[in-house]
Amino acid sequence: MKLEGEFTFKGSREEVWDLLQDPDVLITALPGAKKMEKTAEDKYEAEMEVKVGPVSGSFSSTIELSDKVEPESYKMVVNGKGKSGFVKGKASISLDEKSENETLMKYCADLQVGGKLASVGQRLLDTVGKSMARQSLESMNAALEHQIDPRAKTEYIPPSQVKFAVGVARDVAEDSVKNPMFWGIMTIIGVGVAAVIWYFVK
Amino acid sequence: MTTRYFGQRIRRNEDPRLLTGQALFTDDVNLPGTLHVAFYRSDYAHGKILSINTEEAKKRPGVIGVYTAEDLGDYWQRGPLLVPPPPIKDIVFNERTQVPLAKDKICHAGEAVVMVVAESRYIAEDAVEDIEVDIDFLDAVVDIEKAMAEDSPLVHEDIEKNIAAHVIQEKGNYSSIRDTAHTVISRKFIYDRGTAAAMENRGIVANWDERNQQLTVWDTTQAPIPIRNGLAGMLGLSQSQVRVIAPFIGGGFGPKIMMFYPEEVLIPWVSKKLKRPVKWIEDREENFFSTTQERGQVHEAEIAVAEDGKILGIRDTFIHDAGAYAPYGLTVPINSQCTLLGCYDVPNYYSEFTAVFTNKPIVTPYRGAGRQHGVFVMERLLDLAAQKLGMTPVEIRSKNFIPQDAFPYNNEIIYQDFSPLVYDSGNYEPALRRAVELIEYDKFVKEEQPRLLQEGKRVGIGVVSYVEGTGIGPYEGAKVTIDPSGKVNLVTGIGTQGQGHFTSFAQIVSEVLDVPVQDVRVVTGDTLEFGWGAGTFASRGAVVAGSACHEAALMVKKKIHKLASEILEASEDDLEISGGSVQVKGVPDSAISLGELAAKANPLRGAVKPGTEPGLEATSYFGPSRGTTASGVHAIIVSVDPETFLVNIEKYIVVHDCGRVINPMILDGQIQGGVAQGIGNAFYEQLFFDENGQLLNASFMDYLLPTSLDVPKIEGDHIETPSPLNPLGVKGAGEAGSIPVGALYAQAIENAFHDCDLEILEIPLSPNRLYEIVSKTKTQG
Repeated sequence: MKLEGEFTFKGSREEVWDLLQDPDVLITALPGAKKMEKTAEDKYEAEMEVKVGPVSGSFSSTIELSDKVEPESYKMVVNGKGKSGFVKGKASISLDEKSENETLMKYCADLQVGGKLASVGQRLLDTVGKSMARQSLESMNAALEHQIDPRAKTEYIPPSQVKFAVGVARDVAEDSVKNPMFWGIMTIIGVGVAAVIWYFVK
Repeated sequence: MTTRYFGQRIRRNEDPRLLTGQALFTDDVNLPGTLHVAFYRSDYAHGKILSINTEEAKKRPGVIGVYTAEDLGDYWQRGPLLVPPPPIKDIVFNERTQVPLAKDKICHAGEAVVMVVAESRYIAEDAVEDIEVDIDFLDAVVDIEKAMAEDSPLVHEDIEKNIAAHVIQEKGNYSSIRDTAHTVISRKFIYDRGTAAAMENRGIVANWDERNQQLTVWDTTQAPIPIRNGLAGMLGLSQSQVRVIAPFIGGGFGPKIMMFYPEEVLIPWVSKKLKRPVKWIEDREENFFSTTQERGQVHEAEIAVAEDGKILGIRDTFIHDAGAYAPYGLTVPINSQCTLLGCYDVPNYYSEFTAVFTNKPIVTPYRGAGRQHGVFVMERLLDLAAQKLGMTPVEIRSKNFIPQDAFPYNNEIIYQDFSPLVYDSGNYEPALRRAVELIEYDKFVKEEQPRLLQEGKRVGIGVVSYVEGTGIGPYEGAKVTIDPSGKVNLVTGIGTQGQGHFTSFAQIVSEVLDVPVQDVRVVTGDTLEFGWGAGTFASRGAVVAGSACHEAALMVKKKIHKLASEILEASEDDLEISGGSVQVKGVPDSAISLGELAAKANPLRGAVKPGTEPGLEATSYFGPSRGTTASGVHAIIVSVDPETFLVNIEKYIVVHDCGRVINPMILDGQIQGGVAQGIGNAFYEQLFFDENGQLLNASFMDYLLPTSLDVPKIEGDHIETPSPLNPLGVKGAGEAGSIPVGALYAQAIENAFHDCDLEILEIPLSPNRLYEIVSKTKTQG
């Protein structure tokens, strides 16, 4: 599965860069995440308990960053494994200054999806993946805005799992995300770790 | 005057039991203390196993045992090669059969790695989730056209270019006539994979009785006797210590004869090891991976014809997808190679195939067993040639049929049973004429189609023919016994999966012994009752086991006559059997019931004379010298929705010739079911694998089976051209319905789009695929 896209963050490149490396923020924006830890320099582990519909069990991922050119670009290797299959692949992310307070993220991922995730979930995988990416990136952007100006009107409330689920369900029902170019780091982690859940939540 | 049973529309003996839920299926076997099995199966299609951690699974309460390949010790062996390569000159054959549990390497997604035995299936399934298997991912071989490339990954490292086999068969000399032909047409044809999707998945219950030192296995197999023989060998038991029962089975279709499935090897082993009954029932998701599949082939074919449409020769080179292992040898591609020749006189034929290993589930015969592909290629080539020459599909077929007086007709190549492909009998023209008449071909083309086209409706007609090689050896047997109650016991070794054996075999015996069909109790598929035979496959039950039933009944009839002649003090020639009794002809007062006679044949005093046997019982075996060739013609009228491209069947005709018909009602059922499966294959069912060997539609949500709304009532007729190869003159019919449907759909859809120069060169189709093909044709046009 190939994923490509871009997303505009309302913040400087440096701020977005830091955000993307901060497991505490990532976990709030990541659908269904239970745990996200930085295990070593440039190494992360994410874990979640999955208990939705017919699927239950844990799904864990390792994410390894490489070729970092701060604050411009980096690459990552994702390895997710769970009771319902696996996701593995490579991704590259770049950040461009769009304006003083806007950063354009471009990303490209090549993922292999296997197990029940592929054999049963294939039909909705794309839509669900895009939906998760959109919601994750929007959540992160909201978090970023809040970080930059805590007094801003837009108060950052990490989305609940139910809200995520509703969002995915709506997107699946519409059969496509309005702007399919919404993609990013969360897509990769998101699909790896959580597509299963959202597929079954639909 | 005796009653006729053979050839009658007699209601099935087994139906009351089946319809009221009283019939025994494997999953109905519930023994006290039964343990349940679940398997850890690989998510990966290709990879090296780095480590297996079962510690957590073993700790789970209720888990009795967790077994990996290592735990099997010497019991871990590759499965047997069921069919060795046929004696064809210069054949290349690289044997590689499946393993009970993957040891070092995963070769297809869903391959079993660990077996968990627990007090319940729930516990076993949960314990499977406790297992951690670390697999080093390898690139997969998926596209069969790329499997032989230099840079392709290897499914089995020691097998070069993934080549499972390479076979060339030739008749005449194609290259010598190619240049003399009026027209030569070449095309590439693709046939893709599907699954049999039997209503009942596989299942095995094994019970080792320690006190009696006896193993009983209930198995959804089409071949209980070979399973018994194999298990006895593997487990170090005598064959008489193993009883395999194939009870009622909800559909076989070929995949259930792939002895030995890993589960068939493991469940009896673990029952013996734990001294407890053990059960495993395959779930539908497992079925999509662990039960064998079929149909992936790519053909590059060419037909050379004379100006009058006469076939001068055919050249075909194809690649066959063998899947990860090839336990069934070359049966499927040889069938494709042979069946391609169809009903036609083809003087020159060059056929070459390469079977390749891929990282996909194992391929073994599935209803049609390669015949579909051959028929598709041949019928398509004929259609293309007819169009080029300005002939109708009916004309070109009629032109090329093997004439009735040319039988036996030798195709001069080797068939799947290793015998020369010689058609025993056939009469193709009347079947074609009858089908054309029933579908009202001329009326449709001249009146209906133009009228409907004017109304903006796309409608098309198709007519194709085919042969079906059936009734191959080696042999089957049957035992007929008259019970003192007067009822007849008939036992045969083959298993039953819905074919109506309890009725058609009974009819054969009833015809000889003149007893009501309901009074013949038929037992199939229990090795304790009958221990010699091969199994139910290749449309051979009626031909081979049926002939054995007939012979055994005749032997019993002889015994009846002999004993009755002694008791009635009359010559055997003066006796007649009628209505369950034997009597002196025309003297009803002399009648002795068969039951009474059976009692007298088993006396409590006196002696059985030397050279005689007690009872009215006989066992007979029948082994045909070679297979008998059935044939048929299918005709269809379809309408294609111009918006959705959904194809609706307006009319479907089958005119079939399987020699003498035992029970027309059962035959109609076989045809109806076969066509339904053929329709699925042609327009609904396709397994999609991604480039990593992941199956993308492993559920009935995404793998579409035709429903009752998609399958019309099949109408038709039977032509009876008896086979000279067996005493009943019968031929097989099990696969006939499903074989030509792809070719038929292609012709009819092309006909519906005859204004667009559409060419259908692939099966399965679907509404979206058809839309793509039509759009592409329009763009190019």
